[in-house]
Amino acid sequence: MYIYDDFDETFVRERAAQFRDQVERRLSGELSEEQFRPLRLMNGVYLQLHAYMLRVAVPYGTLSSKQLRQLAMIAKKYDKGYGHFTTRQNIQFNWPKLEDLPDILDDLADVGMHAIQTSGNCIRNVTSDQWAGVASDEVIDPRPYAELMRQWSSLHPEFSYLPRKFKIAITGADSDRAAIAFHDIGLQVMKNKTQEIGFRVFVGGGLGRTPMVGKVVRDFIGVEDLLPYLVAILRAYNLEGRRDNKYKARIKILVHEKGIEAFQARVEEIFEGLDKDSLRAQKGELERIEAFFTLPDYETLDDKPASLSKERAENSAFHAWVMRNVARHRQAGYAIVNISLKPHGGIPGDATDEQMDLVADLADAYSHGEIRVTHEQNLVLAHVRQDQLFELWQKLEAAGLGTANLGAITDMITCPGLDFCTLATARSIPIAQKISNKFSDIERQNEIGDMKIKISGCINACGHHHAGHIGILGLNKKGEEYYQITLGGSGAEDAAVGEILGPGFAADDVAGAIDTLVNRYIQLRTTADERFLDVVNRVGLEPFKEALYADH
Amino acid sequence: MPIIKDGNPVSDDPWVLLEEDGDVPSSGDIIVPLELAQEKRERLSNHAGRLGLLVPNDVDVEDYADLIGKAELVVLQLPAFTDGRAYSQARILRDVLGYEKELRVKGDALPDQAAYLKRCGFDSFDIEGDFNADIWQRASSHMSKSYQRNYRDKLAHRSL
Ligand code: SF4
Repeated sequence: MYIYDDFDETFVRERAAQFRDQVERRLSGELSEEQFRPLRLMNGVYLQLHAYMLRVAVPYGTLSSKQLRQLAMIAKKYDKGYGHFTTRQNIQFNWPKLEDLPDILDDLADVGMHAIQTSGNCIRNVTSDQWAGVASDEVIDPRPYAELMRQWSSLHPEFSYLPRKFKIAITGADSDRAAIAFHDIGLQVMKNKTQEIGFRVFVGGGLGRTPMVGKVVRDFIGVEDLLPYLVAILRAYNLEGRRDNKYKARIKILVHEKGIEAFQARVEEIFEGLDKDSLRAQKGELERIEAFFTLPDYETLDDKPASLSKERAENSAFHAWVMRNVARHRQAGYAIVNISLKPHGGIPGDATDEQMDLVADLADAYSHGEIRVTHEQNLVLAHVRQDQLFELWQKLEAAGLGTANLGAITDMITCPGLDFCTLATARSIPIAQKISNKFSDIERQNEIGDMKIKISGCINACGHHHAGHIGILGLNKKGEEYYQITLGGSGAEDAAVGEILGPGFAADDVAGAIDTLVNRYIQLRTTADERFLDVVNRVGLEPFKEALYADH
Repeated sequence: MPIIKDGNPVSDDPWVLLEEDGDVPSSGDIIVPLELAQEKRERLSNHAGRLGLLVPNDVDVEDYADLIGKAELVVLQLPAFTDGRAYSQARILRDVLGYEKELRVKGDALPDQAAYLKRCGFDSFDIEGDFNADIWQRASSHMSKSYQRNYRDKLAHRSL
């Protein structure tokens, strides 16, 4: 993975010192809360219901064991002993004190981390495929480009006061695990007909109150021109994006109101006029970055060793975990291990400091000291020997991290909701917990198969409910929380926005409604492989509406 | 409303800002609102004194390339410190139109933004509110490095 050089190190240290100065000016009253707000936001500091919240960037979801240990230390020393992994592959701490924040940023800088641009109307942390570099379906490793964009976007002089936040995601695989179609800019690394590496560029995707699937603005842009082309898009947006209404300020609205053709023409016009050389990465820089992303020294091992088959045959819980949580690796004899942060009845995405320490130790022992965070709020050990899976699983299981539910109905994305968030209209965590408890039986989960439930506590859609096979949106009517259900969304390569089923449900009835939908699905599917989403796409909403509302 | 240049207030700024619908004097260093300058193009071509332009933040500066070419001062605006359009306008003026004379920003600029503004090509600030040289100096000099090439840098990306 990427390791800071002196330049990067000085950069984050100076940034931390700058923030210390800003906090002091705030504490002394020299800066008003209003003036402090955009400054703190650009350092990932929010004011929540009960306290400040600090969001720390995990660039494209990659952490070293040393970094994860430092996060555990921060959780323990400054917070209540846990951290929350987010849908943007970041981690947030819910209870730091304002006066501790500068120290936390220094602690982060000690391990090459920061909170730069994890909030505010600027270019946010670039996200990517959590299996980058090891996925069996990968065409090109997207991480060097993600790192290049991390650097390029950091304290960008021109794009730090955009109309609204700006999110970029990149993938280099056939299956889209980074939800690129739901980002302001989505990049797919690819090769063109002449085998030249470049990007297909999507623009204007997003969730929130106006969900939209991104559109292709450029079929192919070569590696050299990536940064100039991003400048062209951002400049068009910075100049023309709406600033009169916060809900219409994202680039998706500009693209929608202008039309993709006109937007594209504008971007091309700006792009043509740019002095591209001055905007490209310095010569040799990409190669310097790429050198950090070579694969570890794998050993020559047998694929599917006999010991593994034996362990699976002898231990059904282990077998179930391998089935769900272990994915194919590009290297024979290795596997990708997904650690679920969705224990039954738990809070999705939360990890205690002890769990973080343990995962860091396990990463050192079994996975070249590297950990990935996924946008579905789980963790990944990306380089595990198949003959060590059983040992690893036993340790995970003992720490409550062995839940065998990856991609299953209880592997839900859930936003913090009314338990923490000032914008929330309803709670989302307790809803997730109820659903999780209802479906805690692993056999039942396996019978249901792949299912993505996503829950948001308000229309801002941080829980990606529009992109859930089943989406749940918490609303509020006359002081009563209620929940609207959508079906048929997807955040993958078949990206789609879910459709509303009908009238909402009270908090206590949501899990039951999901149960009804699932039962109907099982009746409707023609084979066990036909996923819930496939059935919805085949038969439409009607049969599900009938099942839910027939006796109402 | 002090004018700040190189981190210090300027006491003898010669520029006079004209009203939108005002008269154009025949001499002196004047800042003319863009629309008025368009209208009085003829008059201004014989102006005895230097021409400055006050440019709204919702115009495409490329549409006014020839007027801008005659100006010795361009003033861009920050109606609110969160409104970042002037940053892009500045880059277009500097990098696309090749404007090399004084570029000033007028409005709600926080000291913390001065460094960004300079990097986009601004050289002077016409700020609202009080000026505190100390804070301004501290706030605008924290970062010694940048990942992007700045206006007038000979050095490329990431090599300051
Ligand atoms: S979706 Fe709404 S409630 Fe949930 S985190 Fe986002 S803003 Fe808060």
